[in-house]
Amino acid sequence: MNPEQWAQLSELFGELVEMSEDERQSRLADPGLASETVRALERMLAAHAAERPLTIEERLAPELDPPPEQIGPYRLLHLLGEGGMGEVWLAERDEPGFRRQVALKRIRRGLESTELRRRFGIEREALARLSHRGIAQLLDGGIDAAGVPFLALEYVEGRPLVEAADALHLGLDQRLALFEEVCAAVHYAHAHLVVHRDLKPANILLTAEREVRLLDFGIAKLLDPELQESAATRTSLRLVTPEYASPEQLAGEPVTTATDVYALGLLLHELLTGRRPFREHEGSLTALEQAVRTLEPRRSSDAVAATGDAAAATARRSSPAALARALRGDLDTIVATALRKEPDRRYASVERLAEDVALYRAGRPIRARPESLPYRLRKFTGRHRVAVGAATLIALLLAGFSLFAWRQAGGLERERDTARAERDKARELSDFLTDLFGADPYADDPALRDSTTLGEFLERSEASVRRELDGRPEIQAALLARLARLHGNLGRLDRARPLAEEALSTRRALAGDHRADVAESANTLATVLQEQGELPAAETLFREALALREALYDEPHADIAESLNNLAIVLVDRNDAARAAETEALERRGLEMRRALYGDDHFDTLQSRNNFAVFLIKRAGPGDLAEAEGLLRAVLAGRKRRLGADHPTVANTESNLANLLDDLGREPEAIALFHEAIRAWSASLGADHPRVATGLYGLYAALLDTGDLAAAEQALRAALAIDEHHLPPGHPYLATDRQKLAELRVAAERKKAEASAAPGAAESR
Amino acid sequence: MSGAVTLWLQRLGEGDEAALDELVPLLYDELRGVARRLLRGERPGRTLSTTALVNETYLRLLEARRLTPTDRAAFLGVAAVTMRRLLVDAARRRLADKRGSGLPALPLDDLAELVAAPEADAELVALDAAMATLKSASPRAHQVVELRFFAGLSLEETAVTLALSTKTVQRDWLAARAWLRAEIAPD
Repeated sequence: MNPEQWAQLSELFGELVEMSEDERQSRLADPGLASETVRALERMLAAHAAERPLTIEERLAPELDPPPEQIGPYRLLHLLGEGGMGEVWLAERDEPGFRRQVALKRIRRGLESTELRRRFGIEREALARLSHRGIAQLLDGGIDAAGVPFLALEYVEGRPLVEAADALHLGLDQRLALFEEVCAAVHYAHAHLVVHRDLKPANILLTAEREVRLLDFGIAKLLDPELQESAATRTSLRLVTPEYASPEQLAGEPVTTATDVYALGLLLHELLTGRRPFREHEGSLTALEQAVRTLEPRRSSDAVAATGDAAAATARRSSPAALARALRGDLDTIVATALRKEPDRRYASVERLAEDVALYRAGRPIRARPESLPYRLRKFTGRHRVAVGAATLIALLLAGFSLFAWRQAGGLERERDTARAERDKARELSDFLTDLFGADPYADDPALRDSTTLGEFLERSEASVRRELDGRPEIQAALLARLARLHGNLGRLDRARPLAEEALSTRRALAGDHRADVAESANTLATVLQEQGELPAAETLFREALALREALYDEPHADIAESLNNLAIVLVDRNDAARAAETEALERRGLEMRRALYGDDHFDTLQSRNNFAVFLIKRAGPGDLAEAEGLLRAVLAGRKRRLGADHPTVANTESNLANLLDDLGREPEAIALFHEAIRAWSASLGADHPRVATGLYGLYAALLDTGDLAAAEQALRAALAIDEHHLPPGHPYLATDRQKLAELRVAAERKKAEASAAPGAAESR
Repeated sequence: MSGAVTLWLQRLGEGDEAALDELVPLLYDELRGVARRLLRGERPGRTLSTTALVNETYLRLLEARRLTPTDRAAFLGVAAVTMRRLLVDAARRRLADKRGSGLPALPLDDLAELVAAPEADAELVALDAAMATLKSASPRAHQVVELRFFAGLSLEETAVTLALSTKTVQRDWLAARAWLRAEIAPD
């Protein structure tokens, strides 16, 4: 067979399979066809009609095995669709008095391990708690006799929203009203701690009664290979639709409620303009990924004006020019704000997005502001100061505690997995609060800038978790463990501790195999104990977590690496010279494991490098400081590449390196790095942030070593000004700062006196 | 080792055909590791579907961040080739043993055992020959079949992986499947 023959066969075959038997006969009777071709086509048609004639098709079948006629109480009626995840069937079950129809999803990916099946069960129950008229209810689920997981969802008859709106020729205002309904449903789910992760027009239906129904809420997470329970989970890309994936999903970064805000922005764009913002890049996955991660989408109005799509405009009861005019301004801004690349800079919640749409519809000014060049330059000021407010807020709450620990440790920054990067902490907390309570911790409300208020939020949520999940110890323990982490992130260790203890003991007592959960809770509790200074108890628990994880997982594994890192940190804290060799072995093993897992430049690998450097600096044996310098320089280069020069984490590293160089007597290099760290902290966190004071303090120390007393005094005064702003009046730091300042003044006076008493003395020395 | 998978996938993506020969054995090791992990503690005699195996391996690599999402298409293509070679080789060896080829009966390695389909050995060997013919006539249809049969991809996934429309994939698939069936099935 040559290519021409194949082309002819496949084309004719494609026509023939669509035809009736009679049509086929007359087509094949065409005298223009070679008899050989006709014979081949007849054989192909016969083979096509045979259902699975080959044994290998059974063994290698790309489709699922044919489903049983009945799954649990459900009779399968017919196939509704097939997708990457599996098949969707229309099924029914008899219920007292009526027959309920459901959409039954059979999931392609088998849940091969007991652990995954168990987590599938937990997630399913979390989803079953969602009950909102805009969300197709999850009714049931389980594993069928063949071991294939299934979910039974409310069956919704309707058409995809964008398609339905076009068919109905809905105008902009009607479309916006429907969009508000979609937002309300998504907001409800967020308030129940469920992120959709795969919002797209195909999952948003409009019923004949013109009601919006969202399908597949949280299903993407249910299908996630690891079913991680923390808020900031990553979704494997194959489980989302590339055209509707967010920049963070494409980058494999944590998925949060902000991911759904982005997807809603895409939906709004399509609803308003009839096309997706990156449609011209959809030719290849690589091009699409590149565009989504780096290109600013065209404004909605420009997209309409550029394409001049008359059909799309007509479907909106408009003309291309009039539609572009209607979109220009506020609607452009709303879409663009939802579609920002950085999750932090989008609408802080779905509710905020919906509010702006409502304001626009009411003819009132919206809250979002278009980006301007000056805005981009000032990045952290203006209205969007509030968006960064949460990071600052959390940092403030942490400040009294972590700053102290930092200076105590000789100005060296250690990093802990369980505490994660500050930004992640802030995001997890704000997502949680915003969505659980509808409150917005980003708001510039002074009452909210107070840890008592935030604490109250957490208390309320604890009460609801206890009330609603009474009798469901497994899920309750999972949420209590999360509350423990949130309290811990806020520095509320006395509240974090009993919750962590409770979660751990509940999980230990549960029947069945919960070793992974026990390890996680042991890890959380150990972190709290460590912060409270109970190092031996913390060490015991970290060791337990490590042992459990080593027994559970093959190496290399992310959780084992985390445990190695945490155990090493506590050993460094215990500062037991006799165990330095063990600590070093743990550090090296953890670092190597992360390199194997993630490569050299990954956030976690860099964190391990940083921690190893901190260990070496503390031990300060022969060659240790030189090795530490190499490690820190690699960390700095890696982080600058990934995060940009203005990131607070980059500044942390610069400051660590500067301290080391100062210790090595290389003051000029140290001073330059301190300046760089101060600049980056100021740019990212604000010039008045306690971290800036930390940098200034380091700068002061290095300047003092060079004898530049005037510059040293200037740095110390600036640090004191910030500390005075953030620390309570009697804080020991302020006393230290003032005492050092007094000493400086005395030294400066003395120097001046010496200089005037003996001119030229400085030169002769 | 794992870093090498990513590296070779990149090379393959850049059009370096030789990378395929480097990748198959590497991927083979990954597949075997995943198969062992999946079957740990399971009852003996259970076999895995190629679909489950390839999906698990992909998810594992992706999760461990050794693969980037853009490597996916290349990965699935190579996985399909690897699975095909593995299955066909195993089938050839079993058939040779049965015929008493005089060669020492090589123990099949564990991965081949796990995805073994002895009842389909003759078909697999015939399929391999028919696939070679198909490849010379239409490399695209050949790829579609390889991804669907040996990596277990759905129509949609195949379309995304090959950057083709679902319609094109469907047309190639139906025609190629019918042709292969006609070619292999004893008349």
